[in-house]
Amino acid sequence: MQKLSKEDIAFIDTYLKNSDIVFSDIRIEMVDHVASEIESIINEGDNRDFYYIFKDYMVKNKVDLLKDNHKYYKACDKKILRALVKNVFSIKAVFILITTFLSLFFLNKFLELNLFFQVLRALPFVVFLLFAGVYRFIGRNKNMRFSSIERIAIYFILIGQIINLYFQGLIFRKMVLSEQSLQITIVTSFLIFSLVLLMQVFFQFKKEYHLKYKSVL
Amino acid sequence: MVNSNLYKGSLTTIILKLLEEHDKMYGYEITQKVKELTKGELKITEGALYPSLHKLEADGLLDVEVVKVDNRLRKYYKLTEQGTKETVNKLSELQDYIKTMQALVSPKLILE
Repeated sequence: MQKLSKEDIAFIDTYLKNSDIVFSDIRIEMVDHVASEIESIINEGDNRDFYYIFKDYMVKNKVDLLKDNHKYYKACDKKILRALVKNVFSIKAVFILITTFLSLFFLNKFLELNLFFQVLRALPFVVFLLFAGVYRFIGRNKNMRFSSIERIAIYFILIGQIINLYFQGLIFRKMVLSEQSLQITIVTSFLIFSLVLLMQVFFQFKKEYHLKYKSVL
Repeated sequence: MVNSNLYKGSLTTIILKLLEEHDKMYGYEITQKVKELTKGELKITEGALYPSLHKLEADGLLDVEVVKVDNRLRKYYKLTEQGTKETVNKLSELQDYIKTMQALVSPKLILE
């Protein structure tokens, strides 16, 4: 059985990468599939150079391969949502939410009201920036980009936007003016909780990828 | 070749059944096994196979293992515990479906 060389495999990999299949977990099996098909064609007696067989294969199958790439994003988003829902209803999540709320609630007793509101306003941004830093530095692997880890960033950005809209918007100012400290505490607790939850899912995915790809990482 | 639309709804069951029998398989191997078992009648395309595999993985029915083979990485799929249970359900559903279809298209066969 003739096998493709390292250079041939690298060629397929680069071609698919340039065709917008950027995530390693998707590209790995596409490269293997294309390589297996080409090897099978060669072993059936096609004597042409690798490049010509590859070109013919791509003309026939590229659309199908790229279609898979888009469908993968849907499966990936579903996986993230499933993990989030699973975590929301865990005892750990309830504990985090209650702890966050109680910490802020008791902080209210010790701080002067204006200072308390300022702390509440700043806290979600601080947590967001802290998590963004952690995500940036340990989330990305130098050689491999993983779909679930990168797509979870969309949810971080979404919550970041909600935090921004809430604390910079009219609703927050009205609540401050009417001194609704309990309501603001509840909203802030939920926002911080959402960030913690996302971070928890991020670490789960990181661990999962590390286990699955331990032979190559 | 047969009308592949007729098989679309059964693709997941076909994948689960093959994995139940083979411990672990990779994508291309699944397409070749299906081709071999159906004597070339059914050809699963990449565009149909991989989204199904990814969906099954996202649903927690399949587990993945990546191994370096022949100068490249290969993604092997295997059934999870939940996947093994689901295979039994899916196969039973498919058998019921086949019986129903048989009753519709050739009722005599059922009476015999």
